[in-house]
Amino acid sequence: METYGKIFVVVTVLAIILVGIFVYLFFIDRKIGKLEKEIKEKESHKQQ
Amino acid sequence: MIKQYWWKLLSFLLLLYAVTYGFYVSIPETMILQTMRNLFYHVGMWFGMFTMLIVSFIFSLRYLKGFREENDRVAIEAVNVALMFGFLGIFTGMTWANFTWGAPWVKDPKLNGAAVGIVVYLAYIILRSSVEDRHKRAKVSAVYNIFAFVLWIIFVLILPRLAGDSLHPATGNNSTPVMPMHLDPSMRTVFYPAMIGWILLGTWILQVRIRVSKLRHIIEEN
Repeated sequence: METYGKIFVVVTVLAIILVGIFVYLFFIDRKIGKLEKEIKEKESHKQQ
Repeated sequence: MIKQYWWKLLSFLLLLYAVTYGFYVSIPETMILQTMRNLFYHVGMWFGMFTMLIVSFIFSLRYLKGFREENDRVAIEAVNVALMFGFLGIFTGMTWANFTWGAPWVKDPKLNGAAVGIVVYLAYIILRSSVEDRHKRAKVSAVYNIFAFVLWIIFVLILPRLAGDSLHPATGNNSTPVMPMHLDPSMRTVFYPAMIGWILLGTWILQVRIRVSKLRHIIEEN
């Protein structure tokens, strides 16, 4: 691993970015899920 | 929760593995040195793009069978995600080429093929935006999409192979052993998981886009 000279710092940065992007995508996903629920409820209210 | 998210979590774990272990796995000694590791990331963009194009193609065919709007929605959103991957593929490829081939853009059939392939799909987007009527737009673009897919296969997968002197591996007489089937075994342990990870990430983005598009449709109807 000597030849890699501190590459783990770069790897850690990349890992953090990746975690960040996925967490972000997860929250967007959940937000849309909530919207879907809201609209569904509104639709069912209308039908009643 | 788990039922909904397991493949998204899998995508995350596979890509986390790819961007960490991808830097430590032993790679064969070649002229391109450490940049060989780009294979895990750059090639992933093309796997992602191709998967999205296959999805789009299938849903365009399905649209033409019953003219159901959901199918058209998947087709367009899949092309949008495919284009994202395509541009990332081009830009990462240019970065890599700058080192390995000495310039960001070289005379290479695969490069030019990929560029034409992307233009073909940009035309799809433009075609869609130029037809006002919703049903007409869906029909016309579904037919075009089938042509576009065939063109893409020809320009990116067939012609570079026939061209004979591509710089890309496993095309023409370039027999650099970096295609998956004769990839170094240790590299394979990262390559395949990485490709699945990229494809799943694309699928996730596609799902999000389709859901947003559906919501927009519901709001517009009311």
